[in-house]
Amino acid sequence: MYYRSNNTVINQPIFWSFNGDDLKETITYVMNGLFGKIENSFFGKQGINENVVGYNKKKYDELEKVYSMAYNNINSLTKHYIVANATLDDISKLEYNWNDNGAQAFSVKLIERCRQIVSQLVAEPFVCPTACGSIQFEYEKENGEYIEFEIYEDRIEVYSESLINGEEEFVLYGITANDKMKQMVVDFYG
Amino acid sequence: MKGPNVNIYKIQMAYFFREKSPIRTFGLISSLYAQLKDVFKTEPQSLPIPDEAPEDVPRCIWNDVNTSLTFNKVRLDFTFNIPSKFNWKQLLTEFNKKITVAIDEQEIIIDRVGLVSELMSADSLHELLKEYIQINKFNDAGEANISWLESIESYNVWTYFTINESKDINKIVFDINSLPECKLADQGTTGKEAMDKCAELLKGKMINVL
Amino acid sequence: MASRDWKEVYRRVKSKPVFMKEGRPSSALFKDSKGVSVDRDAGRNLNDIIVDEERLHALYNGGMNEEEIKEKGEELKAIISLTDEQCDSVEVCVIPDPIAGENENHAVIQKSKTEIQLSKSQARNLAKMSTIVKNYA
Repeated sequence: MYYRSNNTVINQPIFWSFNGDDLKETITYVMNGLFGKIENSFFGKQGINENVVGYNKKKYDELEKVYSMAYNNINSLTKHYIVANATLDDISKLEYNWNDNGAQAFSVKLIERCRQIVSQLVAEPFVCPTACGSIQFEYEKENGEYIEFEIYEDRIEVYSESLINGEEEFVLYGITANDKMKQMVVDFYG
Repeated sequence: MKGPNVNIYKIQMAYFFREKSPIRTFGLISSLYAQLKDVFKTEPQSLPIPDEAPEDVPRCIWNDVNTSLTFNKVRLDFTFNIPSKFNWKQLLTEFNKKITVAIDEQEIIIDRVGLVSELMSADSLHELLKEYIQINKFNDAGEANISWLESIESYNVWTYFTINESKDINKIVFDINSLPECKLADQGTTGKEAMDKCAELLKGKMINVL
Repeated sequence: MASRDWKEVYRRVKSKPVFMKEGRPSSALFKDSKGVSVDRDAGRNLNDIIVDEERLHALYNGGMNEEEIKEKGEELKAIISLTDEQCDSVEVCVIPDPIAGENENHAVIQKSKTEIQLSKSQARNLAKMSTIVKNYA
């Protein structure tokens, strides 16, 4: 038998794939299972007691949030940034002339690219559209350091202001552009 | 065949505790805090979990932008992203030392370790792997996942390749872990030594990814 | 060179899409391949300018009642201003572009006389320098 670092047993090499929805379902399933276990253990030992975690409705709801968050972090390399994703939803609904100056709507391909990138970033960006056809991701620190990425279907334009290097501007192309952007966010907070 | 040009983006270190270890949540948090307070800009969060809760329910989470730590009664996981200006091996050695000092302080025995690393490829993996496989033969699959296992001494070394050109995913993951049946403490090996050994194996894999 | 009939230019910011980050405008607000649409003060006082900006906002949302405007996120979020000196400091061009019968004070901000789209640095600096003259929260 073979093992992976998550302690699961594997009998043969596998092909694996996980998307966000599957993960969410899995987490919900695991959480339900865990709460079932907790509930049963309390019920067996103590009966219903409002002061005990697991039977206090408010506490139960709070705990569920914490559990979900914890499991999300343990089990997944994917992060779910609620505000950034909601903004991308809003941007996907923008119609022609959304800025009253003839700006175009955004393509499904670009929105999907941005969703893909968001899910892999180590920190949640501020997301907004531009009337140049790109979607902008921004990060800013209290010390004034700043980085912005303008994401197009075929490229990512980068502009940054750092205390050491001042203003910098360049373009990322190709299949490794997303990874390079990911690394730049790590470096920004590194 | 030319190997892909890679660099490590993210590392997860997992320490598995001996079964039925007496884990004192606040004690372990306190020891970890003493060691890692300069690594995190945030504070650890102790989760209000009753002692009777299942062992695998997290007891503590500690998250920052580039670092994340969590433990339950079975294992401790520490994940960190690697900024370009740092050397992954140096960081790993430093974090391994700090974490194992905290675990030792609490007299917790480590029976097993795992090291998962995510690599970024600067090249198109598909192009490099064409010599081995033809993705277009997998019907209309948008994503190809290839994995294989090597056993090196008493360690598993898993290699995973993920290629999804439509979503621009181009990833390599190494999962190196000590065999559960070879319990470290029984072999006279400490958790720190075992993690350092995993790092050596990873370094070897980095030189010859394929 | 023709004399300028303005000391400041004004720009309306809608609620959606969200361009305000922690109360400050994003540089994306100044990124438009057709030029950044603004209105010159043309000697008017601030109150008159705000009233006129609100009129223009209502005009461009014609046909929608207040509830529909809110639902679509089309309500005004803020009005921001930039002085002439601020525009000059980043070397952008403010070009008067009156819209007959609608908005005589209209202008566009361009990168230069011949290039329309601002550079990233210009957009970022304008965002940093701009003043919020009215916040609709």
